[in-house]
Amino acid sequence: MYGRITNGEEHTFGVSGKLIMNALVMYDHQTRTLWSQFMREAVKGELVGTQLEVIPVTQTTWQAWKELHPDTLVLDKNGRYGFDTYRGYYEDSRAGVLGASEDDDRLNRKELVLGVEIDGQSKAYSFAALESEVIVNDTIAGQDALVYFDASSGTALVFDRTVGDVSLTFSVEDGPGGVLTVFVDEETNTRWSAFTGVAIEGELKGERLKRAVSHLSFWFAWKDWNPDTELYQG
Amino acid sequence: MSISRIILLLSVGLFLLVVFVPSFRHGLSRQIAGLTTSSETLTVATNRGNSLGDGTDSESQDLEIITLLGFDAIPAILDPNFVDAITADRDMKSNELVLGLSINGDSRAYPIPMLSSHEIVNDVVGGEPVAVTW
Repeated sequence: MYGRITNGEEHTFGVSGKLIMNALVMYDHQTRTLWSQFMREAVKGELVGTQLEVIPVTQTTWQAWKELHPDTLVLDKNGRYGFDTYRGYYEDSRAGVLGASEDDDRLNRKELVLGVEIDGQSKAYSFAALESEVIVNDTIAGQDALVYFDASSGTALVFDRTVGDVSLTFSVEDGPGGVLTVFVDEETNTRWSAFTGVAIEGELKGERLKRAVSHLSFWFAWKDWNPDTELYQG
Repeated sequence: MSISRIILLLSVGLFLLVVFVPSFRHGLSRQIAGLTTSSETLTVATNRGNSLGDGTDSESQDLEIITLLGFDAIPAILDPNFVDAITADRDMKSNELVLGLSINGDSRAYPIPMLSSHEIVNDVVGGEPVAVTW
């Protein structure tokens, strides 16, 4: 998800039909510059070199999102799109349109990972590890990060766990789970909503943990894009 | 010349073309793969972490850009329409995946099966112009 304003100009984007590293290349209607999802910037045309502003989204189930935001709007399906054209692709062993560049034995190529990149350092968390641990208090490129995974909705979120100058260490409170999951930090015992990163009770009430951009992807794709990635397997 | 002799000569000719003419072999294999593609190498300045990571500190890198389809063969959404959650519920399964975004109190869900078909939705959420991509 990207902001559509760069250098003060608003753009609209279309699909160029081209790929870089198996990832989408967009073009903007205003200048026909090509923008690479992989590089997060314009790679050819008038605006070459301009960076895209990346905005974190939440990938989750309809059920979970509806509970979290009952007043949500939903993109109108117009009675179509009952199935995902990529459905067969998720299940089989084909890797991308153009194939994986090379295999990395640490994980099966089609295994899902949560990938994070901070300050040029990449780290992937295997779904298996996240399913069993639920949260990981970690440090990537010197930044303290909180990795959270809800198995019931397949939602994975990464937050910056530093608030002000203090690095917080979280645990999951016993409770209903899903969108009602609460974290508690051991430094102040503040209670936080897991899905929004907002402190709901305690000393830090009202604070909001900043989301880091993370990607759910297949291991082969993440490894192709980030050859030096670390891998967390629990 | 008999038919079988002609066929033999054509087969040998084809074999020689495939073996000794790289561009022919390349084009043939791409056609056989069901895709007619062209590829081009772009040299872009590396100024961020998302690089091909060979560890060397270089100022530019080569990227291969592959053309699979023409512009707009996959139609991005430029003017999205929305419904409320109750209306959406009729067409949505509970475990259907969505990308959710909430900006300035404006919450929106983009069903992933739709995103698969369009790749890009140009929208304005909470006053912010955004491109939701898949």
